[in-house]
Amino acid sequence: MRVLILGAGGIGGYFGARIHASGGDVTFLVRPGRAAVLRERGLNVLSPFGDLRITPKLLTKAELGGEDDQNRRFDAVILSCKAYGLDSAMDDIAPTVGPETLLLPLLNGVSHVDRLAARFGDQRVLGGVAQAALLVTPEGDIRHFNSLHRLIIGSRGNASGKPRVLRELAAMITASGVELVLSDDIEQAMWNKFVFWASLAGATCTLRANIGIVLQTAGGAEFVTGLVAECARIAESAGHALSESQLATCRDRLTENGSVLAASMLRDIERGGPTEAEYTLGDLIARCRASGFNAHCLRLAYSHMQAYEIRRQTSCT
Amino acid sequence: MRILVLGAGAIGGYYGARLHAAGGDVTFLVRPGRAAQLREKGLQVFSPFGDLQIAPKIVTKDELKETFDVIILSCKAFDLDSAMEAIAPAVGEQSVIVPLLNGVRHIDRLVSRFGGGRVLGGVALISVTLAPTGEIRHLNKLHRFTLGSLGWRTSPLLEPFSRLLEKSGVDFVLSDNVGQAMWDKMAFLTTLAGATCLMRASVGVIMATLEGEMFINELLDECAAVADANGRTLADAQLSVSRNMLTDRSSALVASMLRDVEANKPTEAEHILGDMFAWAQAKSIPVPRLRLAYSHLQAYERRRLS
Repeated sequence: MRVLILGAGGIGGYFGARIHASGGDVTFLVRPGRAAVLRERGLNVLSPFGDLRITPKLLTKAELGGEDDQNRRFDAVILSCKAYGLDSAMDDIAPTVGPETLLLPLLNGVSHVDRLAARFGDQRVLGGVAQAALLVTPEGDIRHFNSLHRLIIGSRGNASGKPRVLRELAAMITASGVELVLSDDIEQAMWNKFVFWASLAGATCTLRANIGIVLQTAGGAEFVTGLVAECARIAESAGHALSESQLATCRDRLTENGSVLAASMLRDIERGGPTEAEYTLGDLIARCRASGFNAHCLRLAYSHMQAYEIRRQTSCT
Repeated sequence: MRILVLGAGAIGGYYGARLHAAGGDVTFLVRPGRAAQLREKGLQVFSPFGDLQIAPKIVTKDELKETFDVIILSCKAFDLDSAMEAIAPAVGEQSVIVPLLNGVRHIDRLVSRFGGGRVLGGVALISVTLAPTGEIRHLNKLHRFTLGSLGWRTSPLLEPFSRLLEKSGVDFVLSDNVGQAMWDKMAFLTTLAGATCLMRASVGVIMATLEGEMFINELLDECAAVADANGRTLADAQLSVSRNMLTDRSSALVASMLRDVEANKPTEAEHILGDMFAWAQAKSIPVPRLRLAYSHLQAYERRRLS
């Protein structure tokens, strides 16, 4: 089976390199600049599970033929772009999507699923969650800095998916040594991560500090636990209530004294870049509005991000 | 009447230059580097109320031997200890100290060092900065100077100093309740600094966000409640002036504390928000908005120091 990975950033690069190294047929669709770096240096992964140095198969947008070019079709496309890059990502991958192609998005939040389904059809969009702490170094290598590399994937509730392609994809991922969980309730898994991620991003961005520092302030712990409670309530009204143990795990990780955990969104802020706030925190706020529930902590965190975006866009023009 | 101004930064430099221009006998106590700059370029003020270019009298810490009648302090709260050290030789039997610091807590520290009879209350309402090139830029059309006795005793210097302030053209208010004026400003400033630092944005930008307006209003209400519990109830007119400034959708106003945060400098957060939060706790007043804003600045300070 042929797999296309959009981008060779942290998540796409890491999991793609693992699959490639175990003999999987993986191609990375990247921008010309990234292609040049990868041609020169190869794709290097530094990981507690073993370093990799591969010569990846690369494609750029310009090299993709028209939509009728059968050779450009892939069996599965893995997307791990930022939510604000999804529209252009969908344009980029469009020529590679054939009738049997499965799409596996590994984005934060949940709103991208509807956007993908609207564009490519509900049946071909899987749900997915990636769990690994990854960074791309300034040189272009991928650094894995925890001991977790899990992919949770599955077909979504009302979408049958493409069972044969899904089985093959799962087998390929498993063969790569990555921990694969084939979930029969992938939407719940996505919400579990979303509640955690949104609370982490909300707290660490609003206070502009990691969890350990947040917890040392007068109101930090209350703010974090307030965010978790509000996000959990939104998950519940979406029909994806977190289990007691999931909620406890989430709360424990976010209230661990001394933790240096911070959201990648905080790093985005600190380098003055675009953020996923609108597609993640904004999505949760929209769901609150629909259910008439007033999530004070979340509204404040979202407002902080709105103020950041207004200033960023004003200073750009 | 001889006046000593500690520092020739934004606030001290502005009011000191106005007093000098009105014929006051004003000396600036400055560091050697600033002294050299002032000797070379003079003290320049750019203001909508008229620019000034003066040749100031200058003294450095080592040269300070004589006492002065009026000593104006406008340092940052976190520099108060070294400021008290610096002015100590200038404080004589009859001297009065006029602090123009933000907040209220500095009064106790000045009184315990120099005695209640020597400390007046003062509030500066002005937006002014010291440019990197040394000149003083007045950014708004407000330059109020509120002065009053804090109730220990009325100094005979209050009257001539008031006359000089009136003559200098600044918007001078001689208050018989300067403690209230200090709390009025404290409530305003805590809200402005709390909101603009927490959101890292100006009043106008905050007002454009989902929760911004409610946050500012509730933070101001919390501060007013704390003032109230301290017997410093904000008058309705005062509260509405503050509220209007803090909820003006077209306002580019930010607290100087936000400028400090963005320059990774020390801030007066402990002195302003920390003190307001401590008052709230002492009086058991719920202040969730203040607590979050204060937390943001606590987190900033921890990161800055680590």
